[in-house]
Amino acid sequence: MKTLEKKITVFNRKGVHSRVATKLAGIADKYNVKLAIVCHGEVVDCSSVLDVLGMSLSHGSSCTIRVSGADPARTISAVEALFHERNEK
Amino acid sequence: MKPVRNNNIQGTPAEQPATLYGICASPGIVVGKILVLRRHTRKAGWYHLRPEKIENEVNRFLQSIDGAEHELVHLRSQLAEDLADALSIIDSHILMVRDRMIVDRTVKIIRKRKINAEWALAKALNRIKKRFNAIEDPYIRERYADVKQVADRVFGILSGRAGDSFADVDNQIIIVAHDFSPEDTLRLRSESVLGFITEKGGATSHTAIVARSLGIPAVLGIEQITRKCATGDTIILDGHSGRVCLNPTHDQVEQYQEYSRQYQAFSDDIAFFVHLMPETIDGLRVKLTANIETIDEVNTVQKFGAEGIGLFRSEFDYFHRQKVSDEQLFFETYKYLLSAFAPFPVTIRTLDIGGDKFVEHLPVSNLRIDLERNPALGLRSIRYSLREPDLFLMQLRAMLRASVYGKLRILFPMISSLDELESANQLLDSAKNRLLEKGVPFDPDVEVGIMIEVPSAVMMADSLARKVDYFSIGTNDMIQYSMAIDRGNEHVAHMYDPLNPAVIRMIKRTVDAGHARGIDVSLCGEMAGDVMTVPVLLGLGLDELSMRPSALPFVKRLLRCSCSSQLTELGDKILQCDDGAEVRDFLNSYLPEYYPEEFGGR
Repeated sequence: MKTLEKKITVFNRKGVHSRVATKLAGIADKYNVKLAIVCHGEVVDCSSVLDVLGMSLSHGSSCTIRVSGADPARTISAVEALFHERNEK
Repeated sequence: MKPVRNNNIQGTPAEQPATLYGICASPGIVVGKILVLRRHTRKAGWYHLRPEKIENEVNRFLQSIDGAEHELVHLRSQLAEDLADALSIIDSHILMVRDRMIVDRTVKIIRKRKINAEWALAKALNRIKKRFNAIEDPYIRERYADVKQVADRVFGILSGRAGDSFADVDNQIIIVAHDFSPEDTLRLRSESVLGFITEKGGATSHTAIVARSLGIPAVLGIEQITRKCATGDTIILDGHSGRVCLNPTHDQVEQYQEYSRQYQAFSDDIAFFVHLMPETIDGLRVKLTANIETIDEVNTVQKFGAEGIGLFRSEFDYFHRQKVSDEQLFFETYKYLLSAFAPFPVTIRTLDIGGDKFVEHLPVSNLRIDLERNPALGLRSIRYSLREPDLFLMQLRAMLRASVYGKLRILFPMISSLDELESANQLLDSAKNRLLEKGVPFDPDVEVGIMIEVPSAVMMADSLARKVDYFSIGTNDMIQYSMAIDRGNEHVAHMYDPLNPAVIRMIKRTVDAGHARGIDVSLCGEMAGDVMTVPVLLGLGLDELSMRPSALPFVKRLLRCSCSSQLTELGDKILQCDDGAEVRDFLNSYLPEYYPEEFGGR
């Protein structure tokens, strides 16, 4: 079990809204990891869409992604790719 | 939700026509009877649980969560994969219903406070609401609506609600409600629902997104709409403009049915042509541009695939301003238009007022003490501008200042002689000099053109062509002036004929004069948007047709199944006709042969 952290900027045009939050939960599930967001001194687990929405990560804000699991690096690059989708609706 | 048969609570006279404005959530126009739906007011009572009942209550709650999740999963399985937007919304709802902020917290509250599930869920929801209210980003904050909709589903199951309430709707109806969840919207996807209107929600709400992906017209955010109308009232829903007309007059209904028909025809198969090149089979390019009056039309024009604006009738913008003479306001409008269409050109026609147009708006001056006896031949259009140089200069300066934001073409209307054109050009030069002195940037190569609509201008087109960069033929006035017919006069209106050979020949003469000098000739009258006359105009060699935006895809389709040599032949044949009836007879046999899709069915 390894834990990795990385600071990521949100490029999604509308910030981390429900579609992105839903996908985050999907990523954690797919890679079988514990995925958390650390921001404003708060830590929320990505399994809760509502907690993630409550972080209010708008376009241009940044946060730290914390991943614990067998292969955290792959999870981090998946999250990065998700946060870098600019033009999604 | 349940249908409310008569909710006309305040006894307002429902028969009065009324226009109400909301947010355009999903395009389309429908007319129909309405069905007003009201959500059950869930007065979730509070009751204390005896210790031995607590785990029962937790189980009841968890079962309702299971039930809600099951409903959502079932709904999702019924949807085609192509409704990607709708599917991703349901996916997020499926996660939300299991979210620990809803489930764990509610269970905790039930156990700790020893209260019923409904009350506990309401408390949990309140806490989520507080958290969302603190969110700065408005888009994310609005997502609370989704949480609420998910919770409402659970509330519904807890209260043992009946199944779908609009499953039994048989007639075609427009549904009016306080709010819909995206899932409600998905359930509305049936032949019987024409459209819907709500009090809550905005263009970015998930309800709106689902409506768009289903293609159901919708207007959202009309306050108090469920109180203003009753089941059975007739309503027009215009999803393009976000307008609804309650209890419309017969005329209004007819007008909207026509809009609706046009829109339908467009969206059915014409949409395909929007992104294709405007050219004939053998590659002859013809510019297809739009006539507009206000900047509100910009989105529509872009949607219909115009290559710029062939005619911006600046007088509408001018008279709809609160403060009439403000150069800055002119400038803002022109800047917006030019930036919106760059690199395509935007043709701005200087004020075409006077005559019978906007007379009531004009400032009272010595020039207009009496109503003119023959306004069509009086002080109008460029003549008015030349008599009011301060106003004219102000408009020209605003145009020039905006020219750095895109491709501007200035258009002088109703030029009837070289002398008039020179006067207008002199004023344009002084506007340029003024800007140069002040160091204000503008495009020094702005194209200047004139409307050819007066017979004298047609006759002198070869001379005029030397002084301008392009011609724009205004057929509406050209027909009136050349045939001496006022279309508004019932006694002679039947003689008004765009296909009269005199008109055709004047167009041809203008085109030839322009081409001899190497300048483009466009046409911006109603003829340019009429599928019957378009092949003729193309045959006369016009370089550009400017029309009402909704005609663009139709004209483009016609152009794309034409061949340039055939068009020239058609033009030559039409030019040999002796009267309008002969032109028509010829077209009636020619068009179905060459354009079976458009004219074959007649």
